[in-house]
Amino acid sequence: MDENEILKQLICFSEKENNAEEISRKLLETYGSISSILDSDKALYMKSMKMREQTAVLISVVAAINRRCEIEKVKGNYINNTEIAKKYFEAYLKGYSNEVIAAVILNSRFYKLNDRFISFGSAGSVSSMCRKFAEAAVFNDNARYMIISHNHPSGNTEPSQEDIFSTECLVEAMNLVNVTVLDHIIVGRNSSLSMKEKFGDEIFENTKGYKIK
Amino acid sequence: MEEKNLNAGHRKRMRDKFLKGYEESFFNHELLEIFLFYCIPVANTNRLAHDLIKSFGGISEVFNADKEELLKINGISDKTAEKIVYIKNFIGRYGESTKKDSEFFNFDKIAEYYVNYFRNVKAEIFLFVSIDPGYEIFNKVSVPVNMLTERKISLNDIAKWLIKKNMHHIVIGINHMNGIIVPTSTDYNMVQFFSKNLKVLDIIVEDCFICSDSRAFSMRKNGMRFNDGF
Repeated sequence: MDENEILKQLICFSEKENNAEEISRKLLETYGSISSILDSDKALYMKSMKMREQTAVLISVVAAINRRCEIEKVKGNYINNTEIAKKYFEAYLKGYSNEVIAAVILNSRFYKLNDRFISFGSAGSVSSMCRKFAEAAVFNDNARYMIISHNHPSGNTEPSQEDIFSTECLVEAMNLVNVTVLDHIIVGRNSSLSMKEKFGDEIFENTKGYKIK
Repeated sequence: MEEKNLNAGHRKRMRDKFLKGYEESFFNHELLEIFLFYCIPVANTNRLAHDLIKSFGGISEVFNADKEELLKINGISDKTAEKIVYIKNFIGRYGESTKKDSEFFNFDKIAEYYVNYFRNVKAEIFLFVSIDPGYEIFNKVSVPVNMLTERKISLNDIAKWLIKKNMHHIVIGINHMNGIIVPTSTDYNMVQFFSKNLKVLDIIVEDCFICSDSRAFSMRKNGMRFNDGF
């Protein structure tokens, strides 16, 4: 199948065949290839193609799914030791010039169920932060463990007193929703630190299956 | 009827949220849920999205599954399974997962990247690629050249898209359909325009590659100055 036919069949998920044919032809005339279309911004399709919102969302969500699948293949789905956790979040958070906080949610076999950003910029109060982590966990069936992470734009990976205090609060808070916080990874410029490696059982429960490596 | 209206309202809200928001803020199951809107009319697809990811172990596995495996999931019809399998054509085919390393920023590697990208592109495109460290796959934004020259989009639009994709250090690629890889005055002016105006948002244009017929020309390598002004 040529690109025109492939794209047309996709757009048929949202449009009648005649419309899909015309939209597909116009998109390829403008963008030159399906790759360029998927790499563009949805606002641009709607603006330039006078496209229905539903169709713009379809193309964009397929592009987004494509990227997630690629990320999943590269990053992997199984996080059961500190080395994998550090590499995971180094990939996830590097490049951000402001502070971001993220979490990965795992099932009882340490298999990733989901990951997401919890906040960009200022964290807010500890309790509102704990609430956001809890929300991230409870909306995943089978959530059993969580690994949290944030970056230090300064590049230094040493945890501050605030980092330590927030982590202790979060460990306690997440117990209320039956999720164990395994680790807190701090990502610097060229490296990361595992608070599990640094503090061990002082902060975190001793969980068989999540190893210090 | 009431359930149909509730679901219609939910779908509109999800689409609006997707249109307005950051892609990164969506869980994988939410992206899948939105995709399933186009497979299953009316019904709530949130539960099904969760079930699919749980059964197959990840979103990439859902779109890697065979039709027979998908049909075993409660709620997946023949047509839905076919549509999910159809997306396999896209996954991997239209994206790259090249592992970027700290040596990415050398002319040969970037030139090769653009030559491969533009090989099958049949229109003139600006392709902005992030060369910031830490991403396994390339953050990129494509913009048809004619949309810029005909002023259908503005620098503001491009700036917003680059920020949304968290791009700081970028390289621009432009493909010429005429086989000539020498930059035109329009190319030069556009790149100069971006370089000067995006700097205030901490978006630094590091180079521009002109590509055509599997060849690439680096403006930086050929003496043009970046960052410190043209």
